[in-house]
Formats: sequence, C-alpha cells, structure tokens
Amino acid sequence: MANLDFLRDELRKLLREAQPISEQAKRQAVQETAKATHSELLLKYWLKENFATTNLDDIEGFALDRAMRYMNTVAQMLDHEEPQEKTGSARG
Amino acid sequence: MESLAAKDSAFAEAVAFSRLGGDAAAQPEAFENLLDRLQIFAPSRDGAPYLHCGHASTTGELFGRDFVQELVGQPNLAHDEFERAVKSAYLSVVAPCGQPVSQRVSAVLDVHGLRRLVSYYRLVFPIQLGSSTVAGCLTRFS
Repeated sequence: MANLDFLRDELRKLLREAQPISEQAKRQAVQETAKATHSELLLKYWLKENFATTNLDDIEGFALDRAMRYMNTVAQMLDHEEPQEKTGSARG
Repeated sequence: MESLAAKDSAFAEAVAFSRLGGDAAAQPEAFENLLDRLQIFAPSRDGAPYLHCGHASTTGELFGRDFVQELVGQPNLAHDEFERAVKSAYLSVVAPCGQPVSQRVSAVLDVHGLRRLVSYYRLVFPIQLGSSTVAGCLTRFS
C-alpha cells in the first residue's frame, strides 16, 4: 500500500513536470474534490468571501491556485477526520 | 440549548438544524444560512483545525475579516490553554451519539497584541459532511 502511494506520488510529480496543468483542469479538480468531500457549500462561501464570486470560472491564475490550496487543505482535514469508532472515546 | 435559542435567532436556527440530524446535504439552505456566523472544526487525535470561520462569527468580529480568511487549516488561535479548554467540546460532539453542548465561555485573549477579556455563549454541535462528522460552533458575545 505504501509502495502504491509512493508510485502515485511519483506519477503526480512526473505529470507536473511533463506538462503544465490547464486552468480548466484546475477548476475541475477543485470542483471534484469539493463534491467528493461534500464541501461544496464551504467552497461557495470561501469563493464569495475571497473573490466576490461563487463561480470558479470567474477566477484564474494566482486566485485559482489559491482555491486549489484551499480545497486541498479542506480535503486533507476531512480525510484525516477519523470516525470515533476508530479512535475510541475521545471525550475531553 | 433552549435558553440559547431564545437569546438569538441564529442559535434557534442551529438548534433546529441539529435536531433534524445536522446533515449539510439534507439541509443545505439551513446550513448555508448559518455559515456567516459559524466556525467549524475538524477534530482528530492531532488537534482541531479550522475547517471554516464565518466573517460574522465572534472570531471574525474580534480579529477581522482578513484574519479569518486565512484560518482554514490552522490549528488554533495560538492561545494554548484556551484552545485545550474549548477543544474538549469539539471532540465530544463528534463522538458516536455526540450531543450538542451549550456553554458560556470567558477568557483573556491576545487580540492583535492587546489583551482582552472575551465572554461569549457558544453552541457546539455535530455537523455531517458526507461520511465525516465535524464540530460546528456558533457563538455570540454575552
């Protein structure tokens, strides 16, 4: 499994180096990640607060890269959020 | 919870959202209406970073709009003792069968270099985002 993760990371690295990612691909990645993590409404709010739009097509360049970083951060947190069945009692 | 709901319509809306299951996908309009005032945390063993911080939350009012726009993914507001105290509620509401928690919180916080006594009511409640359970926190200065 760790080996597969390593290969996947390497592939991503190679793809990044081989060809620049188009803005449309970035928008698609942001949208798909938001959908997969059920965070579309959070993304919509974040876009409105930061860029006064709720439409990803309205942003480009640095703003789009920032949206990608935001979505990546959100996805990591929701991915790391562990159901309590796994962690046992966590009452503080 | 009833007393908080009586204090403020946003608390009443959050209580209603929570009683209907707290699932953002099932109640998108109610969830969206809360976002301006809401803070959301994603608690885990490693901490409870910000998943969302609305500009009209108490944190937004204290620290400003620019500050809260950069909070997503940040572990806390760098007030360790305060964070440890408030975090236990986030962990408890995301536990299986976790119930909403209503509290009054008072603390001295460093706000842009100035020490301020901050006192507020908060309602902490579980929010379902797909298969993830996160902790919503609605606050109002007391």
